[in-house]
Amino acid sequence: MSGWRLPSGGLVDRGRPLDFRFDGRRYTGLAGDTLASALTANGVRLLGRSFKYHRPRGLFAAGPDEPNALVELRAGARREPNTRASEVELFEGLEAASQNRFPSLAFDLMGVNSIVSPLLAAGFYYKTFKWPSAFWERVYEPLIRRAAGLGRLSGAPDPDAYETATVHADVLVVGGGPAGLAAALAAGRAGARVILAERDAHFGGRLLSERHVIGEGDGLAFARAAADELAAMPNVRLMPRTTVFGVYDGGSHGALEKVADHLPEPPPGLPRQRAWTIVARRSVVATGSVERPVVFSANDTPGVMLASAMRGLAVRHAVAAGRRVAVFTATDDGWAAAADMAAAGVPVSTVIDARPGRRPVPPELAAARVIAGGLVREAIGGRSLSTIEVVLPGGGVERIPCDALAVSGGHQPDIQLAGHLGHRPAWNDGLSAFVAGELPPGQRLAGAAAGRLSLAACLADGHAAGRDAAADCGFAAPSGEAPRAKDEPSAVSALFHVPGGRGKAFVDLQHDVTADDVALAAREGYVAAEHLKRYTTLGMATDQGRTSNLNGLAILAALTGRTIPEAGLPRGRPPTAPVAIAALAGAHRGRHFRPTRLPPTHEVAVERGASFIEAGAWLRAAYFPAEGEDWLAAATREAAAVRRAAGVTEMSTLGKVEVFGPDAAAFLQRLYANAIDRLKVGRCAYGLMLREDGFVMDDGTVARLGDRHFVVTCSTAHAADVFEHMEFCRQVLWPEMDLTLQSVTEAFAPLALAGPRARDILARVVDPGVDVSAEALPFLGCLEVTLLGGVPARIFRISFSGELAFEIAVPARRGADLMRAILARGADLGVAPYGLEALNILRIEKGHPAGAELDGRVTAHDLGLGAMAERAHDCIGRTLALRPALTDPGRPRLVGLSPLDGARIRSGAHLLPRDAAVVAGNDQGWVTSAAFSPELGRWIALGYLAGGHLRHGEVVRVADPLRGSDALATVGPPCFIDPKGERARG
Amino acid sequence: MAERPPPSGGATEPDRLAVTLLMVSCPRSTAAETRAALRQATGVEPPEGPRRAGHDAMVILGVGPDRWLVVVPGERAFDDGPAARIAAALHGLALVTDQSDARAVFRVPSFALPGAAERLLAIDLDPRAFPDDGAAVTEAAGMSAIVWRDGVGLLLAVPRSMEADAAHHVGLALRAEAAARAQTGRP
Repeated sequence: MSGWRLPSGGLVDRGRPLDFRFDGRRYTGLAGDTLASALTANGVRLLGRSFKYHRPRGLFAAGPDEPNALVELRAGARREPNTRASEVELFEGLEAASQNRFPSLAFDLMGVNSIVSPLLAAGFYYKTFKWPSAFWERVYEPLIRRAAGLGRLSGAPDPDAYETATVHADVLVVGGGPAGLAAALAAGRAGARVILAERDAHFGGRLLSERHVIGEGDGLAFARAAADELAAMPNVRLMPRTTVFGVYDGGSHGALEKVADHLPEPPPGLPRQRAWTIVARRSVVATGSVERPVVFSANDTPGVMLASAMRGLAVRHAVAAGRRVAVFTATDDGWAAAADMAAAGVPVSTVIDARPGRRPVPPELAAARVIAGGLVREAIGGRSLSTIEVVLPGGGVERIPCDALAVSGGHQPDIQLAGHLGHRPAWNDGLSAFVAGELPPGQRLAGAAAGRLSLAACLADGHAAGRDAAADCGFAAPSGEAPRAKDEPSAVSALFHVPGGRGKAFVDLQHDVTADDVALAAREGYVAAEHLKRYTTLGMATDQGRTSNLNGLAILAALTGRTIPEAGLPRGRPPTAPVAIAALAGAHRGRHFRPTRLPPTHEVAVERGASFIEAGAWLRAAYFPAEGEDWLAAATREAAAVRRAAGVTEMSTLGKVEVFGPDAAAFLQRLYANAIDRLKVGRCAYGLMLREDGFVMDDGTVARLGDRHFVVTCSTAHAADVFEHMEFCRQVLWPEMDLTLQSVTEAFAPLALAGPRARDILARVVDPGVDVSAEALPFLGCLEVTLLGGVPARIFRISFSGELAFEIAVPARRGADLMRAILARGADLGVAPYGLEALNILRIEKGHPAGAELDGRVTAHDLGLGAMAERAHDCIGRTLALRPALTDPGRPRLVGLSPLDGARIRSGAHLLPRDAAVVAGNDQGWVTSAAFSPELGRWIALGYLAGGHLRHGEVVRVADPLRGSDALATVGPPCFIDPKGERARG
Repeated sequence: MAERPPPSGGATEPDRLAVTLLMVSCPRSTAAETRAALRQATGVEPPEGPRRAGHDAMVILGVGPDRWLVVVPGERAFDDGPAARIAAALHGLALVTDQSDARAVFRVPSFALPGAAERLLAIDLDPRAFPDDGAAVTEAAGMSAIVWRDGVGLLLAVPRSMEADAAHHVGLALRAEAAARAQTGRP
């Protein structure tokens, strides 16, 4: 043995040394090492400090169950905290650092927490940080925030790319150990589309870390041959380095593929990680089992490890965990681990079996001392194990020197994926562990995950599961024979806790929860599993309590005189392993976090130097600033241009739906509160849509293009909802109605041309012979024409601004051309482009409600449209709209507000009686929209005021405590400009 | 249409197609007449269910009950051509809207499948689930999409307003698939 590296064996490449650094110091490992095995091979035992007490901690487990060896991996922007050293594949130049220590791992000042540990027992923060209240935010919160967490994020933007993807299969096999390989082979040979996902880089599972014979060869040869056969099948997809972390409805599974985590950085074009959605008709969960430790005093001392982890170090990585190794077991598997280690060259000196009675000793352990019926009650050594204290069968106590202790308390089948849809596990006395109860639809467990611990049983079970899953999907081709192996002993006994030591006995190593903490929780009445978990944080760390939950429940059960299942059942929730948010987001980050919708005239707005604003998913022109103008000056100028000459703006974000069929009019009559059926062909009308509960859903326009053909518009914000509502009504509520719907929102580019000169400009863009006079196109009329030399267009004479206005809808690809033509041909008439800000000014001046007013809490009466709600015809929402509570005159009603003394008021301000104090009890309403009116030369606003329609002329207080303003305003009708609508009709 | 080799140098750039799209839907009472008139006007039997029918010059996709998307290669002229003919033939029977400007159509070439599609779509493109003449109304990278195949690849029709984002995600998927193939040595 050279150092801690064994002279032969292992799946490491001795010809490929790899240099790496830990805490700034340089080491050398081998290709095939994990960071944990490489550090152990270099004799590094102290890998971290515990979360609360800052106790020295070393490697404990071999995979995602590792609670101690959490490190910051990589440097710079790629630094990632809380990475398990047991799962990090070693690469050249790897940099890692210990975390949660100051100033160094060896000398951690926060270790003082151990001294004051009596003050830091479970739930101490619930009792300690109560008073004085002045400390809550200034002292306690900063202190707790500083103490919380382990490693540090880089604080820099993540330089790597991530992907999301979806793949479908007949059979998903989770776990590439012996059962998973057997399942995948059986299903693949049967012809099913199979995905085999394995979190490790290599397939084989325990076969990589244990000595076995399968058929005529060794276990490793079987694993390699199986992987090769599967790789050659066109119907099988192998997904190494992929953790299935969640089970969801409909056969969906979440999985994380670590595409490039094993490399210094991702190669060009490749993501670092890929989040998969795997949709499978059947799944075989062959996730194996997790070895359970035993709780005893100072069981967190570096050198104390799970037997499976120590065995893996020896067999897979050719690393000895110690030079004098003891094994403490309550299982047959502990003996197998001891024998494998001894065969690999690890000096196993003592085997302590908690079970009384002599057992056959494997020949590899002939030189080892065997203590049957003994119990390890304490580990001694501080930063590195030196001695264990053993209670002998006769009651005596003996101290046995050793520098490594392998512990095997039992095996808990990994059944987390069986519980993600709410199914509860069941207790199995024979295994002293939980097994799956009822399973999610389409799922089956196989191998150790199903409680079948021997290799022979795993292989047979996996084969049967794969064959049956394929058959369920209709694939019945021969699956071949199940691989055969020796049915090795796999008995366990129920050993969870050895009391009697002097130190802390840890149940949850990652969260520093001790057996005393569990006892304290029980004394204080937290005797339900979920209460224990929340009070002590047992099982809430990133290892998801893999090694701690069962021991915690067992101790709680013993303390409360109940059985373990009576004490509680563990519930799994996804994800089973940490998943970076970046992986879930995939390519949807930054500007592409969600789709950005661009209107058809976007390029014109860009050409004209518009400033843009996000309106939902749309990117809209907010205003078109001239040299030196701010937003207010630009919007004021644009609004004034509309009032005095003309303006043109983009309206394509409005929802547009065509309705066609014999029942189209009757359908719309049921949808809208106002009468639609009387609308004549070639005419438009305002449309008010109510929800079933009587509140306003949306408003817009309805135009009748033909006897059986309508086009309706709805607000930008509600476009998708309204179309969905209409389809729901058509398909579900009234399937007997004979009509069809189509959304044409994206097909058209409607431009609003508004202002006293609008008709003159319109006449310059329509084709010769098209008559747009007031006679041919009266107010609320609509025409289908051509313009710009044959471009089909629909012109609606409707007005949102209150001016003479035309909404001109052309095919979207010609929208930019039309806007350019209007601006060019109307330049001499003073036409200007206007954006969303000016649009808002114009509609506030006219008192037209928009998104701020239609907030889902508003009734037709609130808007002053009560007459529409009271019409005779039946429509959705009619009955409930007339509830007394919704027609109460005291409800907040839409009003206009004119501030006294030219003061500025803002939306969100509160409305109160003039002399009332600014307290919630005096609140009578709120401001919804405010604007500076160029027409009036002062600020105006819309708002809802209790009984507002009866209070015109009253002066109210407009208080805005958040922004520190307080003003008075006169209440009036919501329309400030041209209340009779003469301009729009002109 | 025969399989074509990947375009040199452009294999990872999104391929945007110029097509005319007509959405045809009808009230229940005129379904049979609409079908007959559509068949008469196009020479293609309108498919039942989510299927593609037709040939290179005229494709009809079933995109819902009594609802079809007619796809004609080339950009539509407003006043004549097959689109105008179809609209005229169905006048009074069905609602025919010109959706040529409502959707941008991208092609994911066959050589990039299924990898690129897995990064864009959630649907199963296995021939058993989505045969060569399949069609689907689904989502692509979070955008609504109508999906079908031609002989050259997989076609995605996404909302016109989201064209820039769609091009970004299609390009990203193509480049990611190319990189993955380069790494694994897959052709």
